[in-house]
Amino acid sequence: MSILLETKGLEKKFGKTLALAGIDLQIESGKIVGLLGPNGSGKTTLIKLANGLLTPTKGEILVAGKQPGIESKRVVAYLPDKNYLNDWMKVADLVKFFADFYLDFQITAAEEMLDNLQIDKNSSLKALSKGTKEKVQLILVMSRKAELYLLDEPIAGVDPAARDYILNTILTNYNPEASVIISTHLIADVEQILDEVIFIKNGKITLHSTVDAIREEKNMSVDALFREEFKC
Amino acid sequence: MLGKLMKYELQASAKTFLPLYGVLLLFALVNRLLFNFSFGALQGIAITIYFGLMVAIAVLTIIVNIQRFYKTLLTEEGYLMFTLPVKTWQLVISRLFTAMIWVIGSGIVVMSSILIINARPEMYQSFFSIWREVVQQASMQGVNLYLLGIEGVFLLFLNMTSNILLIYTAIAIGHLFQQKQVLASFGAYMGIIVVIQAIASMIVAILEPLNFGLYLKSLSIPTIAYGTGIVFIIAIVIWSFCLFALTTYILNKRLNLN
Amino acid sequence: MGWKFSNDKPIFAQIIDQVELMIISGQYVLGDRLLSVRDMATEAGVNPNTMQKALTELEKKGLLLTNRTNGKFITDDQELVQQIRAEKAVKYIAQLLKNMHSLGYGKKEIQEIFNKQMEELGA
Repeated sequence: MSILLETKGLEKKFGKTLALAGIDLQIESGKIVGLLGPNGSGKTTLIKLANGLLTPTKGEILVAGKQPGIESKRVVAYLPDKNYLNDWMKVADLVKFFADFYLDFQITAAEEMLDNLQIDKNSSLKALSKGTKEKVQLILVMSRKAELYLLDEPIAGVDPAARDYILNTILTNYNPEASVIISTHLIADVEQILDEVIFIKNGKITLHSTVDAIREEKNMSVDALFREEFKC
Repeated sequence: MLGKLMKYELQASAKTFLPLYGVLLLFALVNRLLFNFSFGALQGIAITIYFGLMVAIAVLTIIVNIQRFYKTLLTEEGYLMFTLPVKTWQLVISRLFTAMIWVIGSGIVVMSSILIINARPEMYQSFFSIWREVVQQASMQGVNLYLLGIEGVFLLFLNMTSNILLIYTAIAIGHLFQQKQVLASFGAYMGIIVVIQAIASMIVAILEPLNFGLYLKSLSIPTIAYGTGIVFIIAIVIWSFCLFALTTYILNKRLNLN
Repeated sequence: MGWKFSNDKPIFAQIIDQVELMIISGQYVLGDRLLSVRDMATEAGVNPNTMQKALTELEKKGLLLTNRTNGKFITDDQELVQQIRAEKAVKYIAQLLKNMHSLGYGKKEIQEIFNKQMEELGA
C-alpha cells in the first residue's frame, strides 16, 4: 500500500483570502475517499493544487510521492468542476485526443460507456446538453487506468439514473492500486461507496475518518453527521 | 508530444484561417477577371472587399494567435492543457510555432493574391527587369543580394517570433496579478518596450564616445551589409530566448488558474 | 436482488445481516459459488473494501468458505445454518420484547397479545 496523495502544511491564499489554512493529509492506495464540505470550503482548491493548476502559497503537496509535474500528470485522472473541453470537437475526436496524450487511456472502455449512455460519438460537443457534456467528461476521465482519480463534483449536474451509472462506473473501475477522491456536497448519494471521508470547512480539515467508524461510533450516517457539523 | 500538441493547435486555428485564405484568393481572382471588363461600380465593390479581407487577415493573424495562447492556456481550456502529461515549455512552443506558421501562411496568401490580381505578363517582365538591375548594382559593390535577401527573411522571421513571444510574456505577467489581468498585461507590454528602448539608447550612448561611427565607415560595404543583419539576428535570438524562458517560468511555477 | 441499507449501522454489518438472511431463507443455495467481491460490491452499490470486510466476517463465522482457485462458496453445513437461524430468532424476539417493554407492557400482557395474534393469523 502506497501513499498517493500527501500534503504537509499546505496553505493557499488568493490575495488576502485564505482558501486552505495549512492542511496535513495522507491518502493511501485502494481507497475511495469523499472530500466533503459546503461550497467555498476549499475542496476545489485542494484538488486544483494536486493537479498543479494552482501554486501553493506555503507547504507542500505530493502526488504519488512527487510534486505536481509531468510524472504526476501521467498517473492522475482529473475531472474538473467546469466544462474544460473544446466545444468544436466531436466526441470521437475527444476520445482520440485523450488516447493520443494519455498512454493509460482505454478506447474500448470509453466507447462502451458512450454506447451505454447512448451518446452519439459523431455529434460535436457544442450540440450536447449540459448534463451530457458532463457525462462525456466523466467517461473520458474514467476510461483511464490511472493511479489517482480526482473527481470534482462528478454527480452534481446529472439526473439520478446517470448518477447511479457514474457511481457504478467508479465501483467497477475499482483497483486496489488506485484511489479515487470524490469531492461533493451530495453525501447521501455517495456514502455507500466510500471508504473514508474528509470533512473540510473554511479551508481546514475538521474530520478524516472511515465511514464504518463514523457509523459505529455515532450511530448515524455520514450524511447526518455532516448536516450536524455544518449546520448554519 | 510536441508534434501532437501542434497538430491539435493547427486543427483548432485552421478553422478560422483556411476559409479566410480561400475567400481572399477567390476575391483576388474575381478582381482579376473584372479587370478585363469595365463594370465600374461592381469593380469598386470587389476591390473594396478584397482590401477589407486583406486587412482582416492581417488583424486576425495577430488577434487569433494572441487569443489562442490566452484561451487554451489561461481559461477553462487550460485545465485540460495543464493536466496533459507534457512539459510547460512544450505548451508554449507549440503555440509559438503554430502562430508562426499562420503568420507565414498569411504572408504567402496575401502575396499570392497580389500576384493573382496583377497577373499580366508585362507586369512581371518589368518587375524582373528592375530586379535584375538591382542585383547587378549590388554585386558591383561586392554584395550578393540573394544571400542578403535570405538574411533579411530570416531576420524578419525572428523578429516576428520575438514579437509574438513578447505578447505571450505580457499575458503571462498579467496572469501574476489577482485582478485586472488584461490591464496588467497591457502595462507589462508597454513596460517591456520602454525598457528595451532605454537599453538600446544606452548602448548607443556608450558606443558614441568610442567613435563607433568612424569605425563603421572604415568597414567595407559587404561587411556592413551582412554584419548588421548578423548582429541583429544574434540580439533577437537572445532576446527571444529570455522572453520564452520568462513565459515558461511563470506558467510553470506561478500558475493560478481560476 | 435488492440490497437496502439504513443509516444507523455500519454498512458492512448490514451486509453480514443480509447475506445471513439470504442463506437462511434459501435465496442463496447451500454449496453454491458466490459472485466475486467486486461484482457483489457493484451489485450492492457499496465500496469493495466494505464488501470484502463483510465477507471476511462471514467466513470467520463459517458461513462462507474460500476455495483458493474458485473463489468463495456458501457453506453446505446445514447444522451451522440452523444454528445461525436460531440465533437470529432469539435476537428478533429480544428486540420485540424490548420494544414491548418500552410501550409499558408486562410479561403476562405480552404473552396474551402474542397468543391472540397467533390465533388471529390462523397459525
